[in-house]
Amino acid sequence: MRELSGESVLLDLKSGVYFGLNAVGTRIWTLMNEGGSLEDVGRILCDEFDVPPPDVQGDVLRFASELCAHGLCHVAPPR
Amino acid sequence: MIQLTRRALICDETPSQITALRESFDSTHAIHLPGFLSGDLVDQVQHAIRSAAFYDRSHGNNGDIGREECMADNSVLAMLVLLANDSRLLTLVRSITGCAPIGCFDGRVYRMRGAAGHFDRWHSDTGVDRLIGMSVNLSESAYEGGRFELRSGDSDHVLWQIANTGPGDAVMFRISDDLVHRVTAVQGENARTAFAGWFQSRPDFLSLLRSSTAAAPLGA
Repeated sequence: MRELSGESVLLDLKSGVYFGLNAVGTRIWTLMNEGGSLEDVGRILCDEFDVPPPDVQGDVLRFASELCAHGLCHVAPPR
Repeated sequence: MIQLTRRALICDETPSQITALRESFDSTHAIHLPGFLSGDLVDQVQHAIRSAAFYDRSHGNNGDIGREECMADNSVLAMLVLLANDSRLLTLVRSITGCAPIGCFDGRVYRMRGAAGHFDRWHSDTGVDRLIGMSVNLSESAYEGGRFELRSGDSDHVLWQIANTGPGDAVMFRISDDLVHRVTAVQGENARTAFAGWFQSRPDFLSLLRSSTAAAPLGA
C-alpha cells in the first residue's frame, strides 16, 4: 500500500491489479492494519468523523467485505 | 543509503550528503545508487522474472534506436511501478536532480542478450514529459558489455559511464535535448535485465493508474 495525497493505492500481488482507496478507506485500512477489530475501527471512526455508530459500523463492514471479496484481507480470529 | 523496500523508502543520507549527490548530479548529469532495491526485493523480482513472458520490442522509427525483450505486464511490474512512485522517493529524486516537479514514474522490465543481437543506440528519450531516467539492475549474473553511457549530443566525449552490475543498483540520469545515452551491446551468455523508465512531470500517479486497465476503485 502506498499513500498518495490522502488517497491510497493497494496492489494485489497475485493479479497485479491496483485498487484505489479514498481518504476514509485509507483510514480504515490503516486502523485494520494496526490489529484492532472492525468494532474498534468503527468506534475510532465515530470519534474522528462524528458520525452515528450504526452508520459507521455498516460502512466498515461493507468495506471489509469488499476487501475480502478481492482477496486483499481475510477474517482472523480475535487475538 | 537510499533504498526501496517492500514497506517503505529508506533514506539515511544527511542533508550534506544529499547536497553532495546534487552537486555530483549537476556535474555529471547522472548518479549511481548502490543497493537501491533491497536484497529481498531483488530476489522476489528475479524469481518472478524467471517465469515471466517477454516479447520483442523495438524503439525508434523503424526500430533504429534499439531492440530488446520486454517483460509483459504482470504483478511484479505493477509492484515495481507502485514502489517507484513512493511520494518520498519522488521528492528525493527532485532534491538530488533539481528537476521540475515529478508527477509519476513509469517504466518497464527489459532484457538485452548478446546472442539475440539486442542493441541500444544513442538517443535522448526527450518528449512526453520525461525528466529523469532510471535503470535498476535486475540481472541474475554479472554481464559483459551492457555499459550505460551518457554524452552531450554535440560531442563524442562520454561524460559518464557505468556497467551497473550490482544487484538492485540504480542509475539515474538527466533527460535533456542536449544529452544522449545508450547501452552498449551485451556480450557473452549472461543477459542484462533492468527495470527502467522515467520520472515524468505528468500525469500524476493516480491519473496514470486511472488510465490503466489494471486498476479498480474500492469504496469505503
